[in-house]
Order: sequence, then C-alpha cells, then structure tokens
Amino acid sequence: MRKFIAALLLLVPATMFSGAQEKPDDEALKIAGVMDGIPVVDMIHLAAEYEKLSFLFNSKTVTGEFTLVAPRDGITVPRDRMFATLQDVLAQYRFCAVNHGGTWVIVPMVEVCTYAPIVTEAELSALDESAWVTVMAPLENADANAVTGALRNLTSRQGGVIQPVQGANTVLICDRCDRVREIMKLVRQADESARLSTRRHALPAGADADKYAQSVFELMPTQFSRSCMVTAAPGGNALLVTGVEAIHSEIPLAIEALK
Amino acid sequence: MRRLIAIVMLVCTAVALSAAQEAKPEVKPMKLSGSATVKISELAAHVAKANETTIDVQKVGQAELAHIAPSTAVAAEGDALFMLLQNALAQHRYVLVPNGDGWAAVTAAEAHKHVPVITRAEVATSADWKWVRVKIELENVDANAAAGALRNLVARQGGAVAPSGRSAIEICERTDRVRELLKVVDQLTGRQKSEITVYPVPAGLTDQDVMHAIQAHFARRPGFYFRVEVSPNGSDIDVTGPAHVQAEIARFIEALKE
Repeated sequence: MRKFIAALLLLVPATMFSGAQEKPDDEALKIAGVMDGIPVVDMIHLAAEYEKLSFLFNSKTVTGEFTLVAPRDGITVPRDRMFATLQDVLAQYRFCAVNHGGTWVIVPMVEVCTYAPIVTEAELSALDESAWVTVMAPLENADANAVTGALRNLTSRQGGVIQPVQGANTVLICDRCDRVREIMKLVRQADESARLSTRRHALPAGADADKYAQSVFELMPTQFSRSCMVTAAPGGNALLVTGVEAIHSEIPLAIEALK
Repeated sequence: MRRLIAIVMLVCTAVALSAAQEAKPEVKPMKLSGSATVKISELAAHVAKANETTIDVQKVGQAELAHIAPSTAVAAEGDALFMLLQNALAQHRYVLVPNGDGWAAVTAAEAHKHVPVITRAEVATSADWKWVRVKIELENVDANAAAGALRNLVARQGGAVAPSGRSAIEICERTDRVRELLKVVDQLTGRQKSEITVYPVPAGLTDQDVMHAIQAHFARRPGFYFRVEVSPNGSDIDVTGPAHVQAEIARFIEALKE
C-alpha cells in the first residue's frame, strides 16, 4: 500500500485530486514491484482522473483491496487502459462499471445484463473491450437452443448470459465486449456448419420415389436426421434432399444400398 | 406631468424586475469534482431547488453514496441532475416517481404502481431518467416469446415485462432502458416480418406438383413457418414467409429445375 501511494505521489501530479491543474495528455502511470493492500476506491480515483469519467457507487458494498505485481523495472499503464484495469479489479469482487445515463455506476455482476447497452454485431468492433454489452445474434441455420447449450459454459460465471429467443431462432448474449467477440466467432462457426443446401439425387430407373424417400431418411445417421428433409421430386425419378453439406455424400451410398 | 408618470413607471418596472430576481435566485449547475460522499437527502434538496419542484425522499434520504469525478469537474443541471438522483436512488433500490406536482422516492419493487403509462410514440420524448410503463404492440412476434427474451434484461427490482394479450407486451422500466429494449423488439419484429414472393413454376411441372413438394419437404422442419398457394394464373407459386424462409424455398425451387 505504501509503495502504491509512493508511486502515485511520484508519478501522478500533486494536483491530481485538487483540481487546480489538468494533467498533460502523454502522462501514464508507472508501476513497479509488488504493491499490495491497494484500496479499490484508489483505482476508481485513477480511472476517473485519467479517463475523465464520473463514478457513482455504494461505498458500503464496493470495498476491498487488491495486489498488483509488476516487474522490478516497472511497466507503464497507458491512461486509456485505466478503465479496463478498473474493470479487472472490480471483477475480482464480482462488480463491474456500466454507463447508466451518463454516469458510470458500479453494480454487482449478476445484475449487469439489466444495465448493459444492447448493440448489434456490427457495433461490437468499435466498442471498448472492457465494456459490458448485450448482443442479439439471429441464426440462419443453427438451432438457437443447441447453440445456447453449447456455449453456456463459455460466458462469465457471474453476469455472463446466453439465452435463446423462442420462435425467432436468435440468441441473446450478455458479457464483456472482448468475451462477446470471441463467443460470436463460435456462434458464426456453428451457424455456418449448420448451413443447409437442397440437392437433387437421381434414383435407379423404375424406382418408387416415395418409398426410397422414406427409407433413405430412416437410414440417415441420427446427427443428420433432425435437420434433414428427404422427399420425392415431383415428376421425376429423383429425391430432393435438404441438409448439411456432409449429408449429400451419404445419400448416393444409401440409394446404392437400397437397390 | 407626463415626464413624472414616465419616471414613476420606469422606477416601478425596475423595482418589479429586481423583486422578481430576488424571488427567483439563479441556481448554478451542480459541479462535481474529486471524491465526495453524497447524502441522498442533500442531493434531492439540490435537485428540487434547481428544478423548482418538491422531492420527498422519505427514509432513503439518510443513505449515502460515493461519487468520484475527475478533478477538472463535471457540471450537472436539469435532466442530468434528475438522472444523478435516479442513479443514486437505484443503488438503494428506490426510484423517483411522480407525486402530485412533485416527485417522491418509492421502493423499486413498487414502482409499477406509481409510474405513468405512456404510448410507444411518447417514449421518444420522455426524459431518460423517468420510469414509465409502456404497452408495445408486436407484429409477427409472439408476445410470450418477446416477453421471455426481455425478462432478463430489465431491472431486477422494479423492472417488469409481461405479455398483454397475444400480440402486445407491457414494459415497466426507466425510459432510457425502454429505448434499449425496443431495439430487441424491433430486431425480432424485422426478422419475423413476412413477405409474399412469387416463384415461377419450373418447366415440365404443374403448380400443384410444386406446391405439394414444398409442403411435403418443409412440413417437419421446426420453426419454419410459411404459407404456399398456387397463383390464379396457374404458372406461379405464392409463398408467404420471412426472408430466411424465402431464401431456403428459393433454393428448393432451383433444385426442382435440375
């Protein structure tokens, strides 16, 4: 704690909290060695001062101390990383800062999805990585329940939420922006791998297309059968099959086996 | 005589103006800098004075909050002051609601009993900090599905979303949050919006063949809602459904042409 205060006194102008002067823009905070017992509220001060933000919080609940360990030679925390550092510190106590009507309020992480701004996928790239956001991800191919089940374990333990929107094949994701970006990559991969295509598969001459359609569907492996549709092509000796790409290589084999 | 009357009138006007100024002292914007412990009753008193209104904060007035701002100070006045008070109250699970000609702080859990009911159009002009109840008519989206999606996104205490009939939901929240929730509603509505697309019947097939093929092929697909009919001209198929359904039916009809 003493070391941290000493570092502040050395590197932050004495006028920091007095408001008499504004700091030069290129100034950054240098930390070195082990600094333990730093009050969380000091970090809030730094974020407010360096990033020109206002914070409102309940001082009875937002309490605690943290430890910073840096190389002996010291490292520099740029002024535009101060807010992200504060978010990391608050996360240690399951709190986070969210912009609520122009003021940054510090709230428990379990409630952050009730404050986080709702943004589009396109807006994600422009946002601060430490900000909490909610994104709506409409799915074209994959099932929203399946995607939710697969990704549920990847969200933050407190505050992170992924839920399907029934009837709209959409998932809602709330987490820190950097985490949401990573999760969205998986969502898009899952959606792409479930992309369906429709192809026509020829049948042997004189085959009963309806019977073939029924039999081919029953022969499909279970992992394909939920998203697979097989029907007889009208007016032709062929099957129309809609399914993921991998299924189209299985259909000729099934037709051959049924000959 | 005229000059005397003019002088008297000037003096009277000056006295009246100065009296008016005394009655309405100018309230400067609240400047917040550095670290401060804010008592809710004191903050409410300042907001009330600055906005010439009354604010009853009851028991929560004794509660305190920490406010930390840059040393260069931020100024707040008008709606920004109300927003600061609303945020401060929210930390103690209270909200500011209309009370006669003024305002009162009530527990967040009881907010829905006190807040004004407004229309969706009025949301655009309502101040960000005001708590409201608004009924939102839905198109193409089931009210239960929309309410289910939004339920996790409203304030844990005081915030509420409930279906209102089959095609509307009611939201109770702060106006700025209602605007955020409307983004979700609009995206859902847009995605499920149905359109009619006309597809020419592929050569060598009849309209009935194509219609039955589409119905049979997609009948078992979960969540794939559409209607297909033959056009009166006999050479087209009309399909009603949202954009992502239309894209898949278009691919199916292409496969029929092979």
